[in-house]
Amino acid sequence: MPLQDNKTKKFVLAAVLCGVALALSLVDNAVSSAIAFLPGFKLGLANVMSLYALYTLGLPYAMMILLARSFLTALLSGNLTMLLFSLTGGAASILVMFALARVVSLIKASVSGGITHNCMQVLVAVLFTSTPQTAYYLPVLIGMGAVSGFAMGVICRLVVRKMPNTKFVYGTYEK
Amino acid sequence: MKDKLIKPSDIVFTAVIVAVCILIWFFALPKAQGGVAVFRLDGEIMAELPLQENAEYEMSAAYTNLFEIKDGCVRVAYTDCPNHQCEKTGAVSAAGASIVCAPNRASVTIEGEGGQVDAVTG
Repeated sequence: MPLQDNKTKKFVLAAVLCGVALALSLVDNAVSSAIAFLPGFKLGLANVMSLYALYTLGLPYAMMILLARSFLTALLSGNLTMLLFSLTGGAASILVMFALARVVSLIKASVSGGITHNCMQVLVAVLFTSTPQTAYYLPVLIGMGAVSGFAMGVICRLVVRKMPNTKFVYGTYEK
Repeated sequence: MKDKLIKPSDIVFTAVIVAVCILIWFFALPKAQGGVAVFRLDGEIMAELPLQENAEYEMSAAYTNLFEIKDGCVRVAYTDCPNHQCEKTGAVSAAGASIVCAPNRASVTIEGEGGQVDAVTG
């Protein structure tokens, strides 16, 4: 029996995913600060949960989870600027993955999402400082977004494998 | 479920993107040593200092960033902003490179001699 049979099950699954995403963001923050060699670099671990939520629960749930997770992370880490960065980047990447979910494989959608996320971060940084010159690091950030997106896509596939009762909202993760 | 975890097309897809980024990074962007550090606060130029002379420059708005010019490089020596991304950027010296402190809306950009801003950013 799939986990998403009725509204209550969906709701519970969304809450669990939100909790896991919150924990992952905090781990991500800690790990990323420890190994920071470039500004704005993040593993994007919480993106696994966005991706999973998008594929199993659909766009509205994925957005809600992102919203709750971003606010809670901002509260817990006391960093309000990061809220703007994670919300815009996260929302844009979920939208791109949503658009691509039916067309390409899960891993390719995840790679695209990672790239979108990093592009949005640069865009927000440019808007925030009103200095377009800061887009200098864009190629590096796009490359790293692709690599981390690939890794997160593989992790998401592994999660899907471990939960064989998952139904996909948007077709399959093949192609 | 005996389906493949990663398909070859996934790897090709990612590798092509990464390769293009690496090519752009190494070939399309100028790697010339910069001459001037341009300090901006909220997009407005606050100061332009030559990289040849060691100096310190402080920008205070929402937070305080202390920039240090030393041996032709700029770095953030001190910041009280919450995320410390600017500090983690480390020292930059190549023309076109920059350090950004988003919480403080401050940035420093390295530009070539004679302030050819547009030539650098392309």
